[in-house]
Amino acid sequence: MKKTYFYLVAAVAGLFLFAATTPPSENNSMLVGPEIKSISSLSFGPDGILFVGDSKSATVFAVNTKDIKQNKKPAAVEMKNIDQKIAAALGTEVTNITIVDMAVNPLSKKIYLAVQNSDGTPVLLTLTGDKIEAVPVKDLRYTSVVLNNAPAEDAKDHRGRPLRISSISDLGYMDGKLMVSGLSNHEFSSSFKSIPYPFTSKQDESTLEIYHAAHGKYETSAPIRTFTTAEINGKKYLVASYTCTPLVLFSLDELKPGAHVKGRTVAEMGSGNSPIDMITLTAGNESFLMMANTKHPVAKVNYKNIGAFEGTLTEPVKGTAGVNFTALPMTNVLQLDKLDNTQVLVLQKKTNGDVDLWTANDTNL
Amino acid sequence: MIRLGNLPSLIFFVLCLFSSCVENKTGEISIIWKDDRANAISVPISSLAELPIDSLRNLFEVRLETRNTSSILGEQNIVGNKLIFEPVIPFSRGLTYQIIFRNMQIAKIKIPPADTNNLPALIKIYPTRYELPENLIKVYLEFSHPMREGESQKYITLLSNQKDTIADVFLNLQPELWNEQRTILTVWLDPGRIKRDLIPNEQMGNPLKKGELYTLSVSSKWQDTRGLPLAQSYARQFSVISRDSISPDPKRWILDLPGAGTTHPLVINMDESLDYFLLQETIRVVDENKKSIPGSFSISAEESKLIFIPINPWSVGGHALQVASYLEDLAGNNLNRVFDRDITTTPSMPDERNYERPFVIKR
Repeated sequence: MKKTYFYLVAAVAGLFLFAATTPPSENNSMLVGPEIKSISSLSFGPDGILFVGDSKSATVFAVNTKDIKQNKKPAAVEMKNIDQKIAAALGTEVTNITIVDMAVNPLSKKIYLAVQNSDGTPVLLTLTGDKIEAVPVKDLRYTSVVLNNAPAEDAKDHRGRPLRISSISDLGYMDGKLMVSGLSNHEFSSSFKSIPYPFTSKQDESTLEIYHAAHGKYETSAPIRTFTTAEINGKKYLVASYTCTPLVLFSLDELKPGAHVKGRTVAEMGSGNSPIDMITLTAGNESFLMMANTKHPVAKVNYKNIGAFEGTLTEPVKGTAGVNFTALPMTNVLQLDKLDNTQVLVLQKKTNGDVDLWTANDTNL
Repeated sequence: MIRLGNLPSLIFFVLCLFSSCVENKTGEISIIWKDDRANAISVPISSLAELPIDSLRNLFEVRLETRNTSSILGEQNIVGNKLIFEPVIPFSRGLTYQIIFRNMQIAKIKIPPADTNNLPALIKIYPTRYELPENLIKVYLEFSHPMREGESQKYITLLSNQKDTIADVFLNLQPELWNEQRTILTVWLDPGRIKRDLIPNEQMGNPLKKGELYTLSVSSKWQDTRGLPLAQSYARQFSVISRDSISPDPKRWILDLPGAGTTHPLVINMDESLDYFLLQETIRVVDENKKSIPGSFSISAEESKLIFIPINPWSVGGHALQVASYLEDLAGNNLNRVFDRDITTTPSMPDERNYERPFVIKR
């Protein structure tokens, strides 16, 4: 009984402390226990904030993981048959689970994994050494932003259910802005939103239509599949890859509310392929883009080459074209994330069907 | 005080035969069901030991029978005289779990397989037309139950002339595009192959070819979220006609107008089949003050006819159909732009949000 009383006092004290440091406002009050219906994408923001893209409820949750202890020298991580180990930890068979996304906390270097059960239940796990743990989501504070809230998108069917669903394809945070790329389930269009974080009651949201020109002749809208941000020649860019392989640059300065921005296609990475994941690595004065693909090996591109490629692809090309890239000896890579600037976490499906998590470093990057 | 009982006598097997019940009880350990899922198990504390609650928690675990090395992630709560264990994901149908206390198995519990009398079905494939354009961009599959996500590529195939499977025809999207209930899936034909002059289009060509017959088949191996397979395999044949490179235009639609004072239907005959789901959300009927008229729409004639029945009788005067510009035809052409625009011939495109098609109701 005494113990319960102590917890109650501690909780009340915590509440007051919290209330004092984060004044609640209409949309900025941190609530406890986000009701996450699905996880499509994960990405870390500042101070241990984990952005969780929930396509099912068309919401991005900013979850305070409280995981903020700096780890400046992360050790390489290796876990063979990670999918089977996750399935065992969840008490099910490996065929019942899908590893949806992976994100490394840039402060603690702890690995966060989004897993989906075959019945649709989303799970957020962490990996520390060999230990798989469930993130106690219901005890964590969060803020959230609902996507698809423009009047035209409020359409409901005769049973009052929303008709337009936007699936979140990727999330990224840079300089106070959360960037969200989405796919509509009815239109083949690009939805890209740049939302200020911390979320405010006024959503200064820019919904952009993005086009890419194929060989200067046909222009089509296409949804972004995955993206990263990078600084090229002193300017900040959104580096996006599409469902039909082009690599396109957008100046971040131009991504303003309501803007219609045209991207610059700097490479076509090959046919019959879709990009899966992209990261930016910085080594000394140079920085590199690494991109995992459905069919092709992981591609590595030096941003210097992207910076030097002033044009846009205008001539019909065979195979691949544009900026030169190196194919790294890694195929069937499902997820990539940066452990630090010299180590990259790779979730890979091996030829025998095993799914392994391992760390690539200078010797294989 | 509760004494630690004779452990061997506590080893029993729990089998729940009726999956619809909330809490099934055979013996003393029971499965707690929620929405047809085995969400938790309830274990009487009396079957454990005379120990403080925190110690009980540390000594209790649940393991999958086939993987007896690791303890399942979940939460334990003491409710009354029961310990409730709720795993992070529901217990899987058809699997057996060990209940462990002090590293000893005290019981086994089998989660019954789902009811096979209620298999999921593929209800409809949209578009429903037999003749489809060469640049068809998407297909919708509607199921009777929520389906397992992320696996559509394994189970949907397109056959040319009923024999050759066409490779790489569908876009491999992860996450897949499901509606909120996970019953309707949108499948895109690879736009890289449809968009003229992109490398996939040049190398592999358009996925569909004019004049040929195709069969879209869906395998019965596809399971729903309960782990039940489709009741049967499905095959839907269609033939391919010319490319559609023209935007839908409400001005071309033919309206059958009702008389004032009646609640007779307004029939909108589109000159082509349009997207079934976009039709449901992009069109409304307004009066002369641009106020929306309440009523219901139904779609027929292979998605080329829309029927609107108002709740209140029509009034005399000007009305209009308001059509949102994002309404698409089967080739992804919307009211503002065609799917792949030749910028050398059509350098600009409209940026309208809505289009209006006025009409007058007379006595």
